[in-house]
Amino acid sequence: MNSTTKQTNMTTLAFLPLAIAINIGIGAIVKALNLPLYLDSVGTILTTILLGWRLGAVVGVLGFLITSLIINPFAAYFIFTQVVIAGATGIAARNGWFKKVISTILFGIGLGVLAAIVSAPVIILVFQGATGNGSALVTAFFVKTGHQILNSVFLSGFSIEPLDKVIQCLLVFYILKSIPKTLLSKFPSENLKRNNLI
Amino acid sequence: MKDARQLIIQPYIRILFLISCIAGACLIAEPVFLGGFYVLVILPLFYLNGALRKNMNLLIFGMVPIFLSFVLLYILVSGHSNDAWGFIILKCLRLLVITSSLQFFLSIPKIYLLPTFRAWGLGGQTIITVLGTFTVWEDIQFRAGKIIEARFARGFITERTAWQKAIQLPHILVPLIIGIFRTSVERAESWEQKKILVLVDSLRPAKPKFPVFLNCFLIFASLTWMTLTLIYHFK
Repeated sequence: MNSTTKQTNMTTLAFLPLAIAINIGIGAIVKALNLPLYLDSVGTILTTILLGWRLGAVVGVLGFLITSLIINPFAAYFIFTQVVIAGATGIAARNGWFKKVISTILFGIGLGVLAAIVSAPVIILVFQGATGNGSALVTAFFVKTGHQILNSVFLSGFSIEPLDKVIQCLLVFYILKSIPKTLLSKFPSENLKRNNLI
Repeated sequence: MKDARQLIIQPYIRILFLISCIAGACLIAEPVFLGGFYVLVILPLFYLNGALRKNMNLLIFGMVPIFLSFVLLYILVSGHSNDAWGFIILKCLRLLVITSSLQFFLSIPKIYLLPTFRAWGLGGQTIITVLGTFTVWEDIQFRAGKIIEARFARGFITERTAWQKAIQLPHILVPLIIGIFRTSVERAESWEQKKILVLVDSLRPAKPKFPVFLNCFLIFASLTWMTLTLIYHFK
């Protein structure tokens, strides 16, 4: 293994804890404010674009396990959602969806719908729709309007997740556009070229 | 002193306890059994581990809002009869037992993280990633605090309230993450010079002495709980 490859691997290894901490930190702020948002996947999306979907999934899973230990004990139930987010972001990054704002927004909406579909079974099977946070109020609203609890959970997810994921994707987009290209070039990902980031 | 109270549990027994808690909680449908298991087994373990406060936080700030959400959804909004209370209590207790066991499983004392990860077959990279997350957390908090102070000094923040700090998030993230990128590149160069992966892989921590009584009790509790739940489920 040559020295450039070793250096790149070390950069990857040094970046992963920071990406996990980003996931934890932003999610903690939003939870403390009791907002009907999550913003807990910024690190996952960022890592996926920079390092690929596998490492993005590692960041998401480890981030949620550590979050469940120190902040929100229920985060561990949603680790599969993080894997799906990483996978979908990997596909989007490979196809250049982070080149422009409009395509980033469209991807964020799609990612939100996908996350809502993947999270809904967990919310229904584990929590029976009663998650104890802002989304439970949204679910209650839909139940009040005559929907079954199962449908209400899906509708609640479709109401919150797209906005949440669009915000996160736009955050990542602007972050990557702001980082000097000399720094970004240290990361071994073709996605950066495909998305005109370097 | 806090670490001295933390329970030294054999890594595979830790996994066995988690699996048995989750499987038992899923199979059993009696609130009394679930509540009894939580009070007689899980709470004492948290107490002995010096982490009772963490579990009480789960109970107060996690389970109480969920209980209230259940009441809102299944009683107030849906208008179900009093039968819903039994359903709600069962679901809450089940969630409490599973989440508490997961919390206990993840509460590995810092000095036993390395031997535990090694026992589970996790390599140096995973260990560095997990341990590194806790150490960089303080660095991120420090940097975020500096950025907020700078924005306050320049008049961008008028009041030092949590909400004012929170709406600074987009302005904080970009310089914070750029700083993180630079730090990770510098850290990578340092780690490369110190050959940190070789160092971590060659570390041979002393084998911890597992308390026999405690670990045997955990095996006994896990197997007894599984047996009782299987008998209950298939009777």
